[in-house]
Amino acid sequence: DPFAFLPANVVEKILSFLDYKSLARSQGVCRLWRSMASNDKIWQRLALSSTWPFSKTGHERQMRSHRKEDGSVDWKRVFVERYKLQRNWRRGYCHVRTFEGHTQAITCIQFDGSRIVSGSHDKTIRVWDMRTNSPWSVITLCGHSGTVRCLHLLDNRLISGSTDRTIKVWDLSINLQWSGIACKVTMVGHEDTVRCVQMDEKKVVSGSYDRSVRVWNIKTGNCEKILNGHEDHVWDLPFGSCSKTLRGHRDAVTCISFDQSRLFSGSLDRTIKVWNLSLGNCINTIDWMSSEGHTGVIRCLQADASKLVSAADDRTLKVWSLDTGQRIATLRNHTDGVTCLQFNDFVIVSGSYDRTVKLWDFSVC
Amino acid sequence: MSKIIKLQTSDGEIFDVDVEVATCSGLIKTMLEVLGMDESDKEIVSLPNVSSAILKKVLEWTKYHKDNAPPPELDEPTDISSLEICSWDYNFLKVDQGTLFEIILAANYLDIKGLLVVTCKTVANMIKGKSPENIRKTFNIKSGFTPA
Repeated sequence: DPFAFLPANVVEKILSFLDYKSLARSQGVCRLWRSMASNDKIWQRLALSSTWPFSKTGHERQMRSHRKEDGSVDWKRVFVERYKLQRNWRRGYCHVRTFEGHTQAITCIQFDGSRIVSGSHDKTIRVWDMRTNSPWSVITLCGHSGTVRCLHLLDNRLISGSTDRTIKVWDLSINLQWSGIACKVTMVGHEDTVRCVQMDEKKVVSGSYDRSVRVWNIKTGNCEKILNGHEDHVWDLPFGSCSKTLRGHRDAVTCISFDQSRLFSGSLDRTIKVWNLSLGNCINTIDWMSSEGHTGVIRCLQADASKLVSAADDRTLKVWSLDTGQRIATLRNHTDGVTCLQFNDFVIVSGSYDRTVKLWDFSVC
Repeated sequence: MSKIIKLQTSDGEIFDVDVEVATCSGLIKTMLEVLGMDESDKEIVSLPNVSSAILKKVLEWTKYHKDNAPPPELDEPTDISSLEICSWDYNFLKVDQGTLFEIILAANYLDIKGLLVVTCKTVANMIKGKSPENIRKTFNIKSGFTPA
C-alpha cells in the first residue's frame, strides 16, 4: 500500500490531482485511504475551484453552517453542498413553495436569510417567514394608498415606493418583548408613480414615472437631489452614475442588472441584451427564436458571476449560463406572468400576476 | 567548465554531477549555499536516503529537463489538475510501482518540485476512474474495512 509508507505531503499531492469522483472512490479503498482522502485542504481546493463560483454572502453562509466541533470548516460538506446546488441549478431541480395571501397581483419582492417581503396591487406589503412551513404571511403592512411598485430590504429596514407617489421607510425589527414594525418616514415629492428604489445606510435613491431620479435622506425624509435626463419613465435603478447611453432595444427597457464589466437588460421587445460596459456595445441578444428565450415581455432579471435569471409574461423563469449564453433551465409553476424575482446561490423568489409568491429552493433536492 | 559535485548514495556509490544539474534539487542547493560553493568540490555530499539505482533515474530526469525542456514551472499551481505529462516523462516513468514510489520518495527528499509533481500525477492517473476494488488490486492493498 503506497499510502502507508509515502510521507503525508506526498499523499496529499497525489490526491490533489484527483477529481472529486476519484477522490470519493478512494475513500472506499480502506481505512487509511479514507482518512487520507478526507483531507480538508484537498476538498477546500475542489470547493473553491468549482467552475460555478459562489457569491460572497453564499460563501459566508456556508462557512457558518459547516463548522466542525473544533471550529474548523468541514470542506468536504461545503464541496458536496456546492456540487448538489450546481447540479440542481443545471437541471432545474428545485422544490417550490407557494405563499398565498395577496388579493391582487404581486409587483415586487425582496428577501434575506429568513424573510420574504412582497408588494402588491392590493396596496399592502406582506412579510413571509421562509423558515416555517406556513404558507400564510406573518405581517401585513398597510399604509400606501396605491399599488406598491418597488421594495428594497436591507437588514431590518424596508423601503417601498408606490403609485401614490410616495416612498415609505419601514422598520421590521422584532423581538419577544416588543415589535418595532412601523412606518418611520414617508417621502413626498415625486409627481408620478415611484417605480424603483434603492437605499444604503444614509440615503434612498428613487426613480419615477415623472422622469426624474431623486436622492433622499433616509433619516429626515427630505429630498436632497433631483436628477433629470430621462426622456420617459424610469423603470429600474441600481446605484451608479450616468456615463453612457446604450441604445438597441426596440421597446422600453424594463429591468437591468450589472457587474463590473457587463450589463444585462430586459425589455418589452421580449429580448435580453448583454452589454459591454467599457465599450458600450451590445455583446449578445437573447430572443425566443434563436435562443429559446422568452415569448412574453421580460419583466425582471438578475445576474451573478455565472448565471442570469429572467422572468417574463410567458409565466416562466429562465436560467441562463453566462459563459455560453445557453439556457440552462426553464422554471414553470406560476399560472400567470412573472413580474419580479430575486435569487441567491440557494433559492429564487418570484412574484406573479397570479397573486402568489413562490420560493424555488435548489438546496433541498 | 562547470563545477562538479560529488554525491554519495546510501549504498556507497559516488556520483560526479554537474553542479547546475544537482542544484535542481532544493536540498543540494540549500546545502551548497550553506557550505559555500568553493569548498564543495572537495566535499562529498552524502544522500543516505537514496539508492544509486534511483539516483541514476533522478539524474537522468534532471539532465533531460535541463537540456531539453524546462520542468513545468509549478510553485503552488492554481490549476494543478490540468497539468499534462509530456511524452518523455511518460516513457521515463514506465517503471514498476516499487521504483516509481522510490523516485517519489527521492524527489520529495531531494526537493525536486518538477519531478515530484509529474510522479504524483502519474500515481493519481493510476487511481483515476477506478472503483475501490480496482484500486485495491492495482496497489495490492489487502484489507478493505475489516476490523482493525
